[in-house]
Amino acid sequence: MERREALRRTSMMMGGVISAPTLAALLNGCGPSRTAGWQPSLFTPEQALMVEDIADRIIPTTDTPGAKAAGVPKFIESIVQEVYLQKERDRFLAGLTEVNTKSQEKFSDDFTSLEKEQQNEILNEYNAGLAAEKLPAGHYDNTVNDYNPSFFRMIKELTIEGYYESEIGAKEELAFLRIPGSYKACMPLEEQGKTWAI
Amino acid sequence: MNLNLKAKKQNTYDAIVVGTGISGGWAAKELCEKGLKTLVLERGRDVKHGDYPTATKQTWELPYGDEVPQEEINKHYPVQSRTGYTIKQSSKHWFVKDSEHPYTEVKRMDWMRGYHVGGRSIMWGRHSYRWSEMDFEANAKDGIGVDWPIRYKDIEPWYDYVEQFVGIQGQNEGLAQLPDGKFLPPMELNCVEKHVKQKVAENFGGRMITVGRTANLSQSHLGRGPCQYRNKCIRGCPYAGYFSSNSATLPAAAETGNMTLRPNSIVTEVMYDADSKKATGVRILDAETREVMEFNSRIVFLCASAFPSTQILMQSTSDRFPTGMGNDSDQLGRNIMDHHLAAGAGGETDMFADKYYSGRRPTGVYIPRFRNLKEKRTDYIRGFGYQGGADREGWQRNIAETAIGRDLKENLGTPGKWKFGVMGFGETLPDPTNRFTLNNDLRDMYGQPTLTFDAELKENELAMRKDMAEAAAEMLEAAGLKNVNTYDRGSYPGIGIHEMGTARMGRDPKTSVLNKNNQVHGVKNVFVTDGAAMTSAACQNPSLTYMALTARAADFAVREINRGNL
Repeated sequence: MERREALRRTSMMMGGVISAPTLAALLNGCGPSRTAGWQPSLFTPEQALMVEDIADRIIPTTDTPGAKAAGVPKFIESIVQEVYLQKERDRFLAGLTEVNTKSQEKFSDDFTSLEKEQQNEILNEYNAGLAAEKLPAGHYDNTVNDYNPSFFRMIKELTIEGYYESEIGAKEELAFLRIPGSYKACMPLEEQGKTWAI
Repeated sequence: MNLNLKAKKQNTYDAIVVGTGISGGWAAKELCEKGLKTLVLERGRDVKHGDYPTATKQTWELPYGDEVPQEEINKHYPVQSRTGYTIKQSSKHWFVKDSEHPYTEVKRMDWMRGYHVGGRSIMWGRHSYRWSEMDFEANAKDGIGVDWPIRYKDIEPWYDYVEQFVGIQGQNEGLAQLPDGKFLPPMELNCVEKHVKQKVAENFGGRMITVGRTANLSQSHLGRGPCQYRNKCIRGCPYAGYFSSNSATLPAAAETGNMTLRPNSIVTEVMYDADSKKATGVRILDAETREVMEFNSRIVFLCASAFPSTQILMQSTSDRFPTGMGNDSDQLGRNIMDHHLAAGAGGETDMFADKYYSGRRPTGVYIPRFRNLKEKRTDYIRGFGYQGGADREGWQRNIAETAIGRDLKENLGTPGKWKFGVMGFGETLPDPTNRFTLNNDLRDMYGQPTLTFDAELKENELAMRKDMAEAAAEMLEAAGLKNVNTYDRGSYPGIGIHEMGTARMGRDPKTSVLNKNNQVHGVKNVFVTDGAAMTSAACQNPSLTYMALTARAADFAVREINRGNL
């Protein structure tokens, strides 16, 4: 409420020069006023928000924290910026642009301005296409030069890896034993129920 | 003059051991415990037991979720990364930078190296199997290479001896092709592994599944361990839960007060004295100061791993040995062997859906060799063993198919299907055309010559690989597994990380480099006891045999010294 009031006041002070749609966007908490939960070093503020939204749609907060709460978007940026080769980085960033283009075509708005359901609609389309994606046959050394995963495969894999290998993912979502100390070869699943963290 | 004498005396030891890996650690321990003042030289940096910087880190405590930037890999680890699992933030510090230690591949050679105290005993796979009589007889029977100058009975007491110090969990099975040993209690097979074991036994006479015999301590052993079931062995184990030079042999050697350990000491040659027909010691290059130094001793043990020990001999030229010490046979650098792998099969099952496990067991199953024991095949000789095991799919599964959102969490947050897979480790035959040579044109960061490799899998290995995949699939199918798939992901020499054979033992100095006691033919106070000594490769992981050969040779050397022969 305070932010709403502050914006109204600013608008009045500026003589009403902020256009009505922009003001609406600001008031809805979308557009430039919404920023990602970390200071991006590769992504633009808009790209950072997109990555955060996509990661959190892939792994949302339920009764356990989701990707955003686990710090996954920042992890994704660090991989794209430091681990990827330039060609992969380019493909990732182009993928973000493509998602936004789809968003404009479908909903006439930026991806980060969409409702969660609308974002999910776009992402589900991408997800449905993954199964048909051809991956090269494996070689033991993983040196597969023609491995060009799609943008969505990249971000889905990074989200899953970043989440389940995060402290929150390991300890709150999965079952985690830092030092097991023993091996139980065969126990009832119900004793434990969850997937083991690595 | 006096100063020189003093310097010489200071640099004189009873024994010099070159290398601190599996073999060097054993040589150091045995020679020191037998009372020899021993200089142990390691080309890399010092690593004390416990000095394992990533051992207790969780993935989120490592940069980039344990991944290494691709540009760094391309620049520094293009070869070391070929395993697909070793160049991680948690383990890359145990592997050399290829940019600093280059070599030349006429044909592809995957040479994995770690230059530091402990060598690859820190990152080794820990599988420890005895060779059998049929392995020692094989070359003679098949007319391949040269005959081993020893038989099982020669090495058997030394297997007993080293096993009891190392601590190997395993199950005695009474097999002729995989002799029993002195084991710690075995780690348990999980329910799917037990099921497949039973079905294989029912359906295939002569095939059996046992626990992978590994140097992991299933119980506390000589003040080490026990294993904590973290399965982070490759990082070094602060609990000494598995055997390494750092945790076991080197501390035992140090305990005697007889060991001088000198890291950063690159041995460039063994010095030869034509009058006595013996080595006088070694010349080194100090990796930090770049100073050239000489050390003298009565005996020298080369335990630098197969290729470097051979390289040192090649570099040790003299009028007597113009092409390398002990190279009268021209076999130095030849007969490169390894184990070819990455062919096998996998499947899944809906059974045991209500069962899971707890703890990260650092071993799996082993299927001992069953080919060419009594019934002989026509398409290839020798055989292979399998390593593998069963586990339930974790969160890494079905990334493409999994729905996103709440469903993804529910799906990946509970264990997936049981999967069972095995991968073959196949014997490689010695072939003199599979070789490396010294390359004086390409130098490493210390200005030392590098190696040029020209080795490949031959017909026998390639024929075996087909069977490795098919024989695995037929067992999995007989066990009732579903969606059984065979695979062959290719294999190049070196990827087994079991390099062997380039200074082989033999009966005849005309066709071999070492005698039955691992002495260099013609230079009786130089011993080579690492993989270079191997006359054939068998299909079992070889480290245990290096240990036994080393302890045996050390015992022989000290007895020879006491008899006045060395």
